[in-house]
Amino acid sequence: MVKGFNGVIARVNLSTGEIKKEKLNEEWVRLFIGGRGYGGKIIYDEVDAKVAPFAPQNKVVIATGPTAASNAPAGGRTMIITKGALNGTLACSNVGGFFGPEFKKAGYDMVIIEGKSPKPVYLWINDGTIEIRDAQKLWGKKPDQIEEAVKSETDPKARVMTIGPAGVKLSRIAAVMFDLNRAAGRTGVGAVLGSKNFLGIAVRGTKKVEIADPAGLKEANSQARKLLKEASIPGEALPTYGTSVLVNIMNEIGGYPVKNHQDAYFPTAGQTGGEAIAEKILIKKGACAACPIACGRITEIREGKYKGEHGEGPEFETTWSLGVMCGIDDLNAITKGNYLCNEYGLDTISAGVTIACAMELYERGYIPEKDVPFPMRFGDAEAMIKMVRLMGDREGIIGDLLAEGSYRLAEHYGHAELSMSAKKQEVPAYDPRAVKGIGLHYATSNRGGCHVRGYTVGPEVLGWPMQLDRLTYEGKAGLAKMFQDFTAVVDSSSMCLFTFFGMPNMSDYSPILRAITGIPYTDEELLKAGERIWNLERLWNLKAGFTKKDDTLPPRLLKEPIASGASQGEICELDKMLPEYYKLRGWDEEGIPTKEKLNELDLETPL
Amino acid sequence: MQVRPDDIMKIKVKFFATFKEAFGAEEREVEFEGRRSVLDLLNSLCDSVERRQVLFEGCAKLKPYVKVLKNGRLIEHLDGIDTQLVEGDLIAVFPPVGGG
Ligand code: SF4
Repeated sequence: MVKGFNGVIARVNLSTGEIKKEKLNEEWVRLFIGGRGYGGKIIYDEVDAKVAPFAPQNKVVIATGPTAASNAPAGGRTMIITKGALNGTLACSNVGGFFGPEFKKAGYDMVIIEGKSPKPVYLWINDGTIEIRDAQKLWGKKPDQIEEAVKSETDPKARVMTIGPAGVKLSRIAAVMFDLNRAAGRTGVGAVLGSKNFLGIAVRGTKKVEIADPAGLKEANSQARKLLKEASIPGEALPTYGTSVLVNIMNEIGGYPVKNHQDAYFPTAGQTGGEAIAEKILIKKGACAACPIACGRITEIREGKYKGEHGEGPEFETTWSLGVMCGIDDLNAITKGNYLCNEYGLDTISAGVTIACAMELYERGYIPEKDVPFPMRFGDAEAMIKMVRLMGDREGIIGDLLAEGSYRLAEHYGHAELSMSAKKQEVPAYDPRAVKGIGLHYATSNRGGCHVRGYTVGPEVLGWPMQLDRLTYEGKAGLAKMFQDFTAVVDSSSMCLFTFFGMPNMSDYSPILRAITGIPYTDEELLKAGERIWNLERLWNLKAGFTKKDDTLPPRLLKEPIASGASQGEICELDKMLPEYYKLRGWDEEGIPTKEKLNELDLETPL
Repeated sequence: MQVRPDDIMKIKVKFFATFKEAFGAEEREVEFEGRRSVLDLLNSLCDSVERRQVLFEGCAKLKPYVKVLKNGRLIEHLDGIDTQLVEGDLIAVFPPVGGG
């Protein structure tokens, strides 16, 4: 039997209240590893791709991979896989914290949530037993209130994942919050839970998960920890400055989007960078389960209007989205905006980009004054904070639209082109006009605009693990494919992608996965599994109705040259990369995987 | 812009992240006479053994992870350490950084 898993998947039908235990499919572990890959296969097989995200027929898989509860470095991540509320792709959002290992030690590898509960409920999973509990009193409350109440109803040591008010109000950019401040943020997974009247899960687990080769794992883990300690990024930059250490380099290269991508350089962006965070608001660093890197920022606002407030963040993406993307360089206001997003359970990337979109629509006169309770101008930190509240509460005409994300907001006002999104999901903090390969990844990412599933920024900007020229197109198709397949493996294993900054080769991961599972995965087989996962997600998206037309970027990024800074004049010529990308993927000119490719990957031909 | 040998040229330099500890956080302006390269500039700033050790691993070789940007372009994609400077150039020096 495959080790490193409990071999048990729970299936909870919220419509009927039925709870079943099913056996883990070991062949799928070989083919799809776990987590994102395995969960994606469940959704692929069980959910009609055309179903509406909020329909009871949609399902949600909450999944761990083989490394959760194994002490593999940064190996305790959880994934939520579903048809996403934001864009209807085969969505998956990945989160750290401490929930994953606890869940796994409770005797399950994954839980499938199906149907729709007649009233709000949560699950209490306690060392093997599963109970559906009433959550009416908690519905719409903030994550800290929910966590406190749930722990007192269950076990003070329970780990809690929950939606916040935004998920309850079906905001399409709602996150699921774990351990209060860690977010499965992207793709609107929180709204799908909300649509099922499902608040979340409290879990307590004390069992041991059997490992195939404990001595081998010990050795592999210590080797991996050594790599992470010795490499400068995970060993020094991330623990010292957090992810926002990227602010300055992105700004210096002129690739740091400003005011809804109207520019890509902001002279005072440095005031919000990792160095400033360390100096002004950092209390201490924070780490997820078994993580030696500790990139998290536990912070407190020490001056100004929000003095004395504390919480976690901002991370790099949030520093940007609520910061210079909205024309704001006030670190305290950004931090407050981040705390608010956590309280509402909102994805900070989509929240900030949607606010920036509204600011541009307002400044251009596309939003009538009657729709807004106050002026929404770039650079106005107070307006940004108030807009987060409107969005989280869905208050008024504009709050209701903000909660839908930038695409629907901009479309409503007749200017969808001002939504900085790919497949309707807001794109992150790297301007594709200044970093060409990341543009190809944004355009092709299976869950829509996203950076983490194909982080070409490593070589294109950071020189890791090699240095490439960010402004050229050659080789970027292969680079994006390689990163996408590689990341699908890391995600599906339950390890944090940031381990890549010390572990750039599949051979850095494979000894861990072999020792845990006992499956003699070769590096090639693992990368093939990553490619299989990528293609499975693609196939499902095609079934859902996505086409080649959707593999694109906002027109501004394709046509409007960057106005100032080091990348002034640059645009992203996607058509110089996309055909080669399809070819390297073994897809036809329409972006459809060929029969040969699917055969090679042991995938059926579904179309 | 043409730089004549007797010109005084002003270059702006900034150090980031952990390099701020060794070189200071403030943007500084360095004045040179005549033609100078990135190597000349960094040599002139490494005025102690400690500072030299932060950036260099040989007399004309930067440590592999030191990232030097001239006006936002990595010097690897220009003429490397021999990249020539002109009046008004901005040099940014980074240790390894990463995130997501
Ligand atoms: S590197 Fe950061 S996000 Fe990743 S597991 Fe560690 S603390 Fe969590």
